[in-house]
Amino acid sequence: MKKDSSKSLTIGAIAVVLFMAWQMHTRPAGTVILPEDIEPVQKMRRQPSSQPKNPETPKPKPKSVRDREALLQAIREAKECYATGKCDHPDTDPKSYGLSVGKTIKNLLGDYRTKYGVDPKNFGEMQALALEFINSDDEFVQEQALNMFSALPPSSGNLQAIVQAMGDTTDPLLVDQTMKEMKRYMGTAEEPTVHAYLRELLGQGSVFSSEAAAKKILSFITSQSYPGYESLARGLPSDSTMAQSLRTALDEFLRLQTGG
Amino acid sequence: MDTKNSSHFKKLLALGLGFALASGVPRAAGAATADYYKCNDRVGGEYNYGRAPQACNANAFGDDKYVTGNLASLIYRDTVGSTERSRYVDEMNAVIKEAAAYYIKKRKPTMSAGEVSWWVLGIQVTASHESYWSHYRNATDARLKMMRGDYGHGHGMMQIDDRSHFPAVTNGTAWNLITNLTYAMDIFYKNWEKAPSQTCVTSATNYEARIRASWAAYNGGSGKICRWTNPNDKWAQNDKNFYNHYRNRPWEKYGVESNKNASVDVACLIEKKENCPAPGPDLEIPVLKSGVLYKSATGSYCVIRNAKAACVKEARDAICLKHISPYSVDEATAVKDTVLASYSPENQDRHVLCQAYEGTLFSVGTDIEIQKNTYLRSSPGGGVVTVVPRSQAVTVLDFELRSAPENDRYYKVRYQDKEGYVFGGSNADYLTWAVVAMNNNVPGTLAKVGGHVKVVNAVGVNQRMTPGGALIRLIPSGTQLQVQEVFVEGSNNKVYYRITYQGQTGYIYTGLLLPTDTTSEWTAVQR
Repeated sequence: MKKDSSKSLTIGAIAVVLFMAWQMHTRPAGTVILPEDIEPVQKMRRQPSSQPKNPETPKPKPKSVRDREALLQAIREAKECYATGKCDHPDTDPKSYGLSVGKTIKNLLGDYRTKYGVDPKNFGEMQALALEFINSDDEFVQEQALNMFSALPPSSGNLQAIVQAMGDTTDPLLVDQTMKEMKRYMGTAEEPTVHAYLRELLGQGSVFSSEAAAKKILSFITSQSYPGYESLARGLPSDSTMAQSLRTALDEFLRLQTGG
Repeated sequence: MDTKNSSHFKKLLALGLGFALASGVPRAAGAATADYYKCNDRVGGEYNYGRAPQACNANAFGDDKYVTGNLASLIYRDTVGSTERSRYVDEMNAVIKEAAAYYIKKRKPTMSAGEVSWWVLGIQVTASHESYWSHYRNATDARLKMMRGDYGHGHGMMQIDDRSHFPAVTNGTAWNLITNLTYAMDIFYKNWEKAPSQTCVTSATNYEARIRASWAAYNGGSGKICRWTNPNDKWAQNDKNFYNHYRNRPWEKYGVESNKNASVDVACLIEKKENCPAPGPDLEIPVLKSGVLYKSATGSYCVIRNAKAACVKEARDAICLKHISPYSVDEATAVKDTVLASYSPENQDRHVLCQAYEGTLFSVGTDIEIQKNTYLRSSPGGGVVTVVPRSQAVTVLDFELRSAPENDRYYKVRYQDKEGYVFGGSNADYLTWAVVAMNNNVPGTLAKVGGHVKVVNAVGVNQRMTPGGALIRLIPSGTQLQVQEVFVEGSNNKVYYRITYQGQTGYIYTGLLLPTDTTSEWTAVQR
């Protein structure tokens, strides 16, 4: 009997280890391993179902909720690493630590979006994350925040946050991504905000960002927005590549309206 | 590239696959970018102008031919004696100053002359600290190198970091000296504008603090903008070293001609990135003559024949003007518009002119079959996107000619949803690179002669007597038409189809190919 019980305990332990290993193995690459992942198994053992439940004790949360909270906690802790400068990230040159922190946050946000961001009941939480991290100094993190916004219903607050954060971006890929997101606001009450942002980017933005924007501006030109872009183009130097792209798009818009 | 060498092709395919994978991850390599990524034949150097360590073969990120043919004066030559550093510093100083001044005028036209001079100094010092103005270098192994610092992560003069800016590294932006500098100025400018609001700067006119803050953020990230005021920061020594460059301006020890003009057209290169004729002597020219290339203040390039000026809008097409008035010096002499006006300038269509100049050039819209495994580059000289294999048929979407009299040609094509330029050979060997495709089934947005298109523009398309000419009628959306001719004109490669509708033959406009293909807004190719 003794032998049998020790054998069954051993089998149980192996099963737990195998279960944990399976969980870790099936986790998407690049995600952070959270110690809380094993919590449900341990708690079930410590709290036999035969014991009367204390009404004061909060009801244990389902595993998915605890995983989500653990993920949120990991995001908060990763963000703290910027301020403390003392997390376990390589600090071999002036950029390495910040890049590593940013990559961790990016991956965690990506995990959140794919695991929980698809459920509408988490939209509020994901929106809060996107609003927080769109202001990051790290373009990898901003990219992920934009991914989160794109999975949410359009809203005035989201658009304002994007406009503020992307106003001075120097990254042409972020400009492409931002413009893709902004297409969702065309034809809505927020459309003037989109055009104000794009005009600012074209007129005042970085060389590479404004050129990227001008190449894709045609789909934002409408009868209503045309005068604003046309006025901007008139004030730009004739030999600027960005200005030439903008003028080409304006001419093309007119041709599309009249049949060419 | 040898098509017979299968192992070489496998390497090329592997390279192409690497980029294909990278392109799916927008801002970084699939994994963390390795130290000395694509660093072949690495050589050391010395912490001095032009030769800062390390340096690796430049051709991993762009075409050597472009550098040696167009930016030769900006290459540091290891094999030249003691005068080389002085020459190099003067050349680079001129380029950096002109680029910084042009850039800031473009970004902030209202900036005061005083601030402009501080901005220029900030860029000079930054380039000095980052790399000792090192970028291209002919090393003793006779290979063209590009400077690589920070364990190979920093690319070129401004040390564009491949961990943060991987696409800019792979598409050749960091490899091209002028775009390397422009890309870096975009980042520096953002910090320059942010600096006055920081506690460590306090005033917009505290220029020394602005420069130091802008660089600290450039070096450590924008959150480190005030790092230079913290002597206990782990990287405080970097800020001290930068300040030494700021105070001592060490380049002045080597330069002998501080007011020299750049030997390349910096403004044109900032706008067009590649292929700008070098500037000629800065003279007052009241009378224009044939056999000389001129550049107007508005950016047109012209030649004179029979007291008339023939012009092209784009720098890259200036080579084709040799058909009208052959010029032997590939420099463009600046001319005032008022002087040019008296020669009745007339713009030439690039397609007609360049075909006349180089009869073996394939026109836009032609389907060609690639004859060798050939790199598809992001620009004619830029980074490798993928490899187009031998026998692949593709459609020419744009062309560019370079290097007279050989007239190297480059074709813009689309292959596997990627756009870029392939080399098409010179006038001596072009048929070994590409021939007209017999296969009339190349996928793309352009129709083939004999094929059909459906009008998709909501208001329909106008049928005209000639391309852009007198109106015949409006053909409604949804109409199917058979294409009898594909006609392309203008600097944006405007496309027209000749068609017959209700018994009358004429042309419809169907979009442009540059800077972005809009043809799908007009018609859909029916297969």
